[in-house]
Amino acid sequence: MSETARGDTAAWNWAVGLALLIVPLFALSLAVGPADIPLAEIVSGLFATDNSAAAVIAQELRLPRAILAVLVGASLGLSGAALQGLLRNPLAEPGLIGTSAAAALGAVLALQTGLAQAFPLALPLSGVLGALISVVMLHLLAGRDSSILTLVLAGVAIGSLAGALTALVLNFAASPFAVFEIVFWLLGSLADRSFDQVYLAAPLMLAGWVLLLSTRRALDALSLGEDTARSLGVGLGAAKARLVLGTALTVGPAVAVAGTIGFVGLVVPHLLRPVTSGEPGRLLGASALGGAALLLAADIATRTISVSGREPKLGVVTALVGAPFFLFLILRTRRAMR
Amino acid sequence: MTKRTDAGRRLRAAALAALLPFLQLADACAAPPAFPRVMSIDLCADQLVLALADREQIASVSFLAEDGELSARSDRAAGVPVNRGTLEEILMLRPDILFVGPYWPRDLAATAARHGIRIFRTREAADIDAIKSLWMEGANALGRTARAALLLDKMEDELARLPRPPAGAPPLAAILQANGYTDGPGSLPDLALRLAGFQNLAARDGLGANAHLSLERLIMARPDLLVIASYRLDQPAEAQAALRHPALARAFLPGRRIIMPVRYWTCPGPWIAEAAGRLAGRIGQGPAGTLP
Repeated sequence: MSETARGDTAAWNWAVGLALLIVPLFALSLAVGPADIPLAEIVSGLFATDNSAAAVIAQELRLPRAILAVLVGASLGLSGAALQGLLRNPLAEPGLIGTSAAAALGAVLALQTGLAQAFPLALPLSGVLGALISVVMLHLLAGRDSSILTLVLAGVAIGSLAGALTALVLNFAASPFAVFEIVFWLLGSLADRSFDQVYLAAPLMLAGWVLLLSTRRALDALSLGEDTARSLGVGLGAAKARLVLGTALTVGPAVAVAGTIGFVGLVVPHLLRPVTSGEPGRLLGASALGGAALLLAADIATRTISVSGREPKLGVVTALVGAPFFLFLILRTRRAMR
Repeated sequence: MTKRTDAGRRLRAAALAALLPFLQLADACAAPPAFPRVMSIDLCADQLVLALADREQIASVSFLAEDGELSARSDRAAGVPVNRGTLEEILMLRPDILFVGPYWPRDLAATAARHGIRIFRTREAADIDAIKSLWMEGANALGRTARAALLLDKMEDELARLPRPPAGAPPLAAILQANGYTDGPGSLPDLALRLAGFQNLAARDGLGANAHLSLERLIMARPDLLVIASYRLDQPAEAQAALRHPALARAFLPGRRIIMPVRYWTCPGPWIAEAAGRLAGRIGQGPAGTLP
């Protein structure tokens, strides 16, 4: 069996394995919550047509939350892998390069100007717009220079600006609760989400997935260098456009409904890179599945680790896992560069 | 001019300067006016002052008094000068008496007192007797005890007219605020619920005065009435997202839901009877929602 064929089989095995991991995590997510309801009752509640407590909790609270964890997690993992391929930089992910913060700014503006109330789809679309602007700005700032330092600095600049503007908008908001909202936007949460958010975010995210997955071949070619890729006949301009737009379409709605959740797009591609034998194209699908699994697990953790009845924010859990990982990556990169 | 005349002039000036503080003290020792000029820098004190004092008596109330969502007597605040509670404003206005909240810093109070301003400090009051004694003390300071007695008697009449709760276990009610918080025992919302004849879910489950109530626990508990504390509900805020969740609409059909503007129970006052009246009206309407 040729090396690529073996690589393909291995990647497929991992993909199936990850998909199988998502199923029990999904079930666990449905079973866990502030109300102590046995899993059997939740399952029967899922299919019930009355308004019993188990039915309402299962159908309106736990199910949309689990679905959003899968959708948002897959989007974050997928966009992380795509950005790392596009920028040819292992430290790229929507949180670190400021895309999530920019998407949050877009969403907050849509909410505070009343646009999202008049036209609900404006919420995820504003997230997309914010994400799009940030990726374009990043390209202008870091551009062809793929040094890690430039990229991280540009990302910090964009993220800080977006974060500061978000805080400014919320500071002058009409509602007095806006100040507390900053916590939601900065740390992310899937608590108390409903199917409204699923319907708003899912179509755009799925469109983004299709766009990103269509760039598999281009990403593989791009990893060999731009000139080599062009000589292989890969339409680089079109592929880059699809990558940029696809990233915005996946990250924008995810942030608009769940706030900024960092590090998923960083950790998942790194963990799965050895599995896909370094081919960025294969990494896309695997990262989507891995991201979904990771976010489901993190969301379950927020509900099991509760201090005095309050859940920690989702972004806190992912940061507690992701930030040490990020530090370890930096150290390893420095050591490799010596 | 000789040196002696200069010295004499200086001596006279010094003597006058030495006497000045005694003259001011004499002024302060005069009897306080019957209806002192009052300034209030606290929302709850504002409402007491606005309800009891004449317009001419009021130098200024805090800017919160005008907020219709917070102040139970915001209509009476129309046209009254407002302040932001700064020491500068207080010293410029020089009221006879300053109404402050329970937590106004002691050092600021001391500074105001040094300038001859009397301080009346309001306090939290979460039961009828405490509300009555607080209002009578405030009325005393304002010289309006008769008016206060009238208002408090009206309050007692309204409370007496509340429908008798049905025999048996009291119906269960739960309060949901922004950010998913609820009000427990020892708070004015809890008092309103109890006066109306309900049992507060937060009290039954031992949740404390201001605790988080998750939507799941709320739905599981199946209270007979869901009270949504409304403050600027129309304005976009993630904090209010839980209050508009579709799960609540399914679990509590309109007959089992009521929206209570927070002005009814932010501050202690006779309007607590109105609050209780609104809630009591919901008892005996039957469980319109179909939670089994």
